[in-house]
Amino acid sequence: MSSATLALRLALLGNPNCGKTALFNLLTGSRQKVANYPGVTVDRKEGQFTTPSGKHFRVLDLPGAYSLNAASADEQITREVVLGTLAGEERPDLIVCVSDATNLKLNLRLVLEVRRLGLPMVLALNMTDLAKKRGIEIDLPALQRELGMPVVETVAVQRGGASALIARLEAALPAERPPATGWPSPDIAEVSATQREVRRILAASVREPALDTRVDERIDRVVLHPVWGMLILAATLFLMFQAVFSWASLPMEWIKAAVGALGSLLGERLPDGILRSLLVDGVVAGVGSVLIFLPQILILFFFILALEDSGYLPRAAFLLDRLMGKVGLSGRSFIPLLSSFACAIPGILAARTVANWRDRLATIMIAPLMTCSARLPVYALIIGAFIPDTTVAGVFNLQGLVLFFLYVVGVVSALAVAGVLKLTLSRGAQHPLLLELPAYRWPHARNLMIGLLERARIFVTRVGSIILALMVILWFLSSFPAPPADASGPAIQYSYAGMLGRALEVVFAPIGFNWQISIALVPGMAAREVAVGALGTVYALSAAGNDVSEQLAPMLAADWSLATAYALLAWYVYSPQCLSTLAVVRRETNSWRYPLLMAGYLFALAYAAAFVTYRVALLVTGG
Amino acid sequence: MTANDSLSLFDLRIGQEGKVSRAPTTDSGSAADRELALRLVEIGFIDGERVRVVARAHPDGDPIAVRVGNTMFALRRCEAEQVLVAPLTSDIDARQPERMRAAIAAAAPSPANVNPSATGRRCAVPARERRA
Ligand SMILES: Nc1nc2c(ncn2[C@@H]2O[C@H](COP(=O)(O)OP(=O)(O)OP(=O)(O)O)[C@@H](O)[C@H]2O)c(=O)[nH]1
Ligand SMILES: [Mg+2]
Repeated sequence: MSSATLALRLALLGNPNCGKTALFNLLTGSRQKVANYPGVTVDRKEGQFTTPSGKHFRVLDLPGAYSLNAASADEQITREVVLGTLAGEERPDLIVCVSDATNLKLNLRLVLEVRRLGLPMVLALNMTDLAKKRGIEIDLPALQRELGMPVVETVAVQRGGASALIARLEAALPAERPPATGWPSPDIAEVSATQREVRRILAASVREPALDTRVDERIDRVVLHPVWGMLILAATLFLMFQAVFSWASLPMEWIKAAVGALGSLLGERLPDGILRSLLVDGVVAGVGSVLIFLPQILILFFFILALEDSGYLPRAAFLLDRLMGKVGLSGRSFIPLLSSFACAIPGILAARTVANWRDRLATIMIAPLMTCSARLPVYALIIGAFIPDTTVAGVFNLQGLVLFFLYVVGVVSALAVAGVLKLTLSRGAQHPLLLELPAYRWPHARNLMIGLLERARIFVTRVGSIILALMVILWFLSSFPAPPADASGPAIQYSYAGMLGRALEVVFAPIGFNWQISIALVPGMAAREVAVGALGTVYALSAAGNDVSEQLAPMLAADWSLATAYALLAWYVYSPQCLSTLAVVRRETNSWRYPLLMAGYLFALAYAAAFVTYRVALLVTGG
Repeated sequence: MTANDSLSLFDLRIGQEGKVSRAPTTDSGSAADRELALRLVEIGFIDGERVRVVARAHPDGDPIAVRVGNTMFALRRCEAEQVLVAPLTSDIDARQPERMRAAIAAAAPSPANVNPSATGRRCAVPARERRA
């Protein structure tokens, strides 16, 4: 027998936001996302760990669930894993129920419900650090007796915080794995009876001073206030986009200088020829022009991570519920949509937490209109080249304002599309919200650092792998076949890419795109940032001989009309070309219909918006 | 049942505390209503439980943020109206500054002008719905 079959399968199960993923990370050394709102984990995640005595465990992190009686797709996954009904997934041998020790009144009901399944169980009382601070006294032996299962205390965010659990796992030897069972969902009388049982057990084993909510509620009076709350939300988002531009310029200069230096170094040292062209024009010009946007992406994520960890996001969802209700959504869609600012894919997955299928579908369909971070380099490049870096009204950075405006256009368009979908999808009835608003917490500095490093790693890996590969392919297509001896223009015009660009130009000329842009749009389908890199390479190859690897922006400013630049920005607000997004939509909706519909409507919107922008800008600038 | 008992959770004012006098039931309504009622009981809206409305959104004070046990939930009107409560404190929290109280009063309907017959609006299809 291999060690994989010997390993016991352990599933972490519990209410949303009780610290399952934090515990999972602590046990397995993984870096799954941890944040202070319910519904962070929406898929089963697997990891492994070995106890000091050499016992192997395969650990499953599950989406949080209030009940096995699943109300949304993420809870459904949890239920199926625990019941053993998920295809291709063996039933866990052991369930570690994770409960928030500061909120056992809510958490224990699920424990009792799961206990009825008859699987071996351990209860991990998590957040005992907070419970101690609040003066909550838990009589472990009494609780153990009442529940009839081992109970251990954990602190999932401290090193060594799982030692009691690990010690317990050394000892526990689960019996035979019970076969998959059906689960008769309890009726309301049974659920009420369980609730009374929870209260009885708590009375027998927990002494808890009344919860002091004064600080939280004082904050909430302002943050959830219909007027002040909205102002705070708007100001926060606004600050975020201002910061992306005004804080990033210095580190961007450094990276730009380093890339430029590398380009010149290679240019001087290498003999003139194909290798030099590949490295200088393909790799350095292409990859370097994407890499310099790392600081902006990290600043954006700094804000997103801090907001996620503070407990603010569900509050924003609360504030926006009515507004989103107007277009047939609920506040529940807010968090998936906000995640889409990072990337539409996690956003589309997070839509699993939206219980209502129509709401979920609408959320999925509009997620790509939230400007993802991969589009940031494109925006930033064009804004940097065409919008003057001046200060408006004394404090606001004009480039930051334009960026904010582009994000707003995306959001407004998303609401409009949702409104149209409402006419076809929903039946006008009220949809539930039912969203937990967690206690406020200071963002952990360590969590933030880990999150940012993880982001930087993902971005750099992406640049180093898919983007690099695409750049090399593009360089090849742009360099061959070699131009005829009597060629007058730059060589790239005679290459495969040049031919492709000229063919596409027919389609894109009406919206002001030249053949260089048309080429860049193609690899942009695999990774949007590549459009920037592709422009870098295409222009590096077009400019005969000069060392241009570091000067893409001024070159664009000289080559494009203002109308073209604006049209490209408008195009990228809708930017229909992201293949991985479409693949995920296919998976989540289980049909080709919605990804095709999405690609179609995004392309139509992008083309129309770019067309109108181009024509209007031409009129205004007199071009 | 006294007159006080018939107040719905949605009708509590900001800062007002209540005691659940009738937890959601599954006696009537569609499958979706029953799912919702079950979920409300699962998260703690059971008879005798204390609840407090902490905030209301704009306009019409919908949705509400309500504390039940140690947890706060945001509920839309159609959800909150499934829970009946007996109010415990009658006044808006004294710690609340005067002008904010005015702003909130403008945003939220007082129990007096909520028509009881308007309650019982139902939420649609929360759960496992078959996909196309
Ligand atoms: N103080 C303290 N905070 C904790 C502890 N465990 C988790 N947290 C915090 O609680 C929040 C939720 O943690 P997660 O691990 O994301 O919770 P989860 O159960 O996986 O949540 P879902 O995936 O949404 O169901 C995060 O902000 C954590 O930093 C703990 O033991 N003590
Ligand atoms: Mg999680």
